[in-house]
Amino acid sequence: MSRPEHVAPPEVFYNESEAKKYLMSSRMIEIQAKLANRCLELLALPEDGGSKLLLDIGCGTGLSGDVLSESGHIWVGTDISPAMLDVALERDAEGDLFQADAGDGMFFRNGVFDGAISVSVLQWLCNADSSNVKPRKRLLVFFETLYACLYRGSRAVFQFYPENESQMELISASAMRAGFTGGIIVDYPHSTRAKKIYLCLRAGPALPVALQPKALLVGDGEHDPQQAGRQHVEFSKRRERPKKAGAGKLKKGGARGSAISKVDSIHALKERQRRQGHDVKLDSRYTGKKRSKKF
Amino acid sequence: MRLLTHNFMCSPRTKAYPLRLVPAEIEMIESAYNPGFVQHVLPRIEWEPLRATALACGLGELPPSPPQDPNVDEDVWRLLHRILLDTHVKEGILVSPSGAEYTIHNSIPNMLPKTAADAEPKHVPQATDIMDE
Repeated sequence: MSRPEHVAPPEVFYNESEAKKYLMSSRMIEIQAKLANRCLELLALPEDGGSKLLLDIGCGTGLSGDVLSESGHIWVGTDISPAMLDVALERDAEGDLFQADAGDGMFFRNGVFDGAISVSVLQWLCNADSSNVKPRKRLLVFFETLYACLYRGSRAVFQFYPENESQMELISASAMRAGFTGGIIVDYPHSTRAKKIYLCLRAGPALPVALQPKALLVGDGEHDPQQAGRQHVEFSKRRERPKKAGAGKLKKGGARGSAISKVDSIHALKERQRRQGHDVKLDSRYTGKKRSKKF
Repeated sequence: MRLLTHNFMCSPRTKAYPLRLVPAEIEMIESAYNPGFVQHVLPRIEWEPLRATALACGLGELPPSPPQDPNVDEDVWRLLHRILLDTHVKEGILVSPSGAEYTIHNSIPNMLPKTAADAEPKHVPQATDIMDE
């Protein structure tokens, strides 16, 4: 399968004829909508039902944005290809569109977006289309500026097609360096065609509301400080000393001093070997016992 | 581009703020009144630049400080909704504090950096060039 990133830079590859495909092909439209839906699902926005302000990086013709609009969110999209943005205008995409290069970084104030999604874009940032382009640097600038413009605790979900393992590592390492937490999620990992890779990131640490520690309140019977004090574990005055080496060792073969007798250990060993399918001698009452001298 | 988004923009790399909006054409697209969303984004809005932009676009004057409760002064909230979400800039220029300009054409601001190659027209080798040699 040829990869579009190898053909031409994104602003050149997504020309009028390529953009038209996103307008006409029902298969492409369906795939884009499905991916965007999954991204939105992974964003895990708070379930208060309110509209949120979202960012769509590489919005293209606004197909992914439509999914956001349908869920009642306001979105802002950026894309580098003017042909794709023209089609987005033609389709009356509801979001605010920008022509910008994601590798140059975002151009928004700190902490303004409730989340970001991106469908099939990240792999484009790994390409050096001219000699002065450094993908490593562009990825880092992208993630750092994205981190800044996200509201603390909000998420960013990227569906992307990494070319190989090292590209995936480069992308997630750049995200971690920028301060994001999170990782890769692979949908349908056993199917070559349906396999989809998502990078799910979280800007800053966010505890779920249910796990956040709550402050004590006056009259909160269960947490009465005096009662709570009694529940504390008292410190004992005994001091733990490190045990001398060998002090706790079992005596060799000693049935008396050891926890497991020699006979029992032989039985256990034979049992284990039987389970592993080895040829093991039958047990008898002489198993593990010494023969008499005259024998 | 909505004025809400304009309020959130800063110049790329330098993060200079605000980008002064010089509107040439403004379009009003009415949307359903959504006080919940306005209340949600209000803490993130820089009030003074928003007031200045609203005046520059001729949308009326906002109070000197942001409103508190959407149930108390509904007129202000409706005006806010109209300014933030219904006002779209179709044509215009964004000017950063350092003087860099970004054009808005067809309601799409172009944030691509202007390189030296863009400023001067590229010399495309023509058939006649080769003929001369």
